[in-house]
Amino acid sequence: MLVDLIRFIKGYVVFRVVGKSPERLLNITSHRGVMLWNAQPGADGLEASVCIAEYRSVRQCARKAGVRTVILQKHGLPFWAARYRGRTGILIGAAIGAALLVFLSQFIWTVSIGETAHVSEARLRGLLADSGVRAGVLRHAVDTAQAQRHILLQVEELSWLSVNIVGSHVRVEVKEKVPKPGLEPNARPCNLKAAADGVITDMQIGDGITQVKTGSGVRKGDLLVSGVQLTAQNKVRYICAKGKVMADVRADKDFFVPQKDWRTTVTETATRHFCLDVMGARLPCSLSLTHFDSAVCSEQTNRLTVNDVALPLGVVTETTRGIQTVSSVLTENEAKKRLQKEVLLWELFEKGEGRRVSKQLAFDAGPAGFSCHARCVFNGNIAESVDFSVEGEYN
Amino acid sequence: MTKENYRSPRVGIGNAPLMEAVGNRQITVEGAAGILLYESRCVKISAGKMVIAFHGRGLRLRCISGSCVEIIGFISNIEYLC
Repeated sequence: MLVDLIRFIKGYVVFRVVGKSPERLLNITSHRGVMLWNAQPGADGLEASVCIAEYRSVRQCARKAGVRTVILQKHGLPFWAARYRGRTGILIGAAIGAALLVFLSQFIWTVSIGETAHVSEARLRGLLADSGVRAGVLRHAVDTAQAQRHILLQVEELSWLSVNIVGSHVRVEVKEKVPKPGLEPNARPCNLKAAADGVITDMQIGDGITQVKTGSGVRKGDLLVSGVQLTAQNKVRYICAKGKVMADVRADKDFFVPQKDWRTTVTETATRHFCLDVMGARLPCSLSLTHFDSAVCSEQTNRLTVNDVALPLGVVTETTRGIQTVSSVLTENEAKKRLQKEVLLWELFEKGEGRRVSKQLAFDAGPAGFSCHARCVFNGNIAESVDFSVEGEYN
Repeated sequence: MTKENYRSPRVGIGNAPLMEAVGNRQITVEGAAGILLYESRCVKISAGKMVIAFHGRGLRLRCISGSCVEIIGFISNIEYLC
């Protein structure tokens, strides 16, 4: 392979030896140290290859051997270059292309981060950028060890991190800490008591003596499962009661929406500002003269992607919208819809653990606004662990 | 093992050619004086006082230097013409 490459760079010709005794040419060239290769007999004579620098010697040897040489093929860089000698633009373009390739190879083009479960990629990218690891920086200017130390100090969830530079690509390998297993604390004696008023529907008791039955009603603070156990030897044993006591619990809440509503919204008109992102440097491509007193801005970057690799070349679109505060008078239907939404949010975020069994909504319209009384029944675990102290020794 | 063991056997037997064969597919002849005939079915090599003829199919000279010739192909017969 290497020999072929050297021959291609030097250039070579394939020639045919025509004459009575072509073997004589092989003998003379070998004695003179002229390197021939691929010498093979053909129907019209012997064929061989030689470097163009030595072809003149071959012709002298042929004259001495009484044979004639005919060039069949020309190969190699000198012939290729001679073909394009008149087209200097191609050569200059190739030289500029090669120089550009070498120059751009000195920069970081892409940064990829390994998969993480708990740490966001955006956070890691931000920290990498703070440490100087981002697209567009000089490859040799990146201090990988410093970046690793900086990120490991900043992100407690990571146990190991490695920043590897492969060509113009930075590959960041991360390993997250394995969370400690939830160790059960020392079993201090405790009871299970009702956290709310309700009617018991189901019980799953692990440890302890059950004090209530399914279907019975309990009030907040009532003992559900006792941690005081009597052994077969008539001794008292104190344990930590465990279990789930499911009960239907009623919940009431009032919601109110004023009739006159002030709402902050974004305006319909928006201005878009385009930038060309080249290796992290932004070149503005448009100008906007619209001004907003208060505005929100969103940014979208579309990168050029080749073979699933996002190149550091793209268009950044900044969209700016103004903020306005408008007042409106709510109709009854609008108010009902909003109140229903608030009830749903209350169910979701305040009573999320329990399953809703029933719901009753009572709407009322007043001079100031609309109100809603929500009466719901949720089914959930009402058992809460309450420690109790025991004087003396216990087991 | 000393360097003496690697010395060419030609030292001990005058100008006789040294042939090294890899099966019947490749033969290297050291001490060749010249090529007398080069065809795909027969290659004759002058080696001092004798001529060595290699017969076979698809014979080719892979390498030719001042005193060494390497023949590749399917060699069926080697003939010494003294």
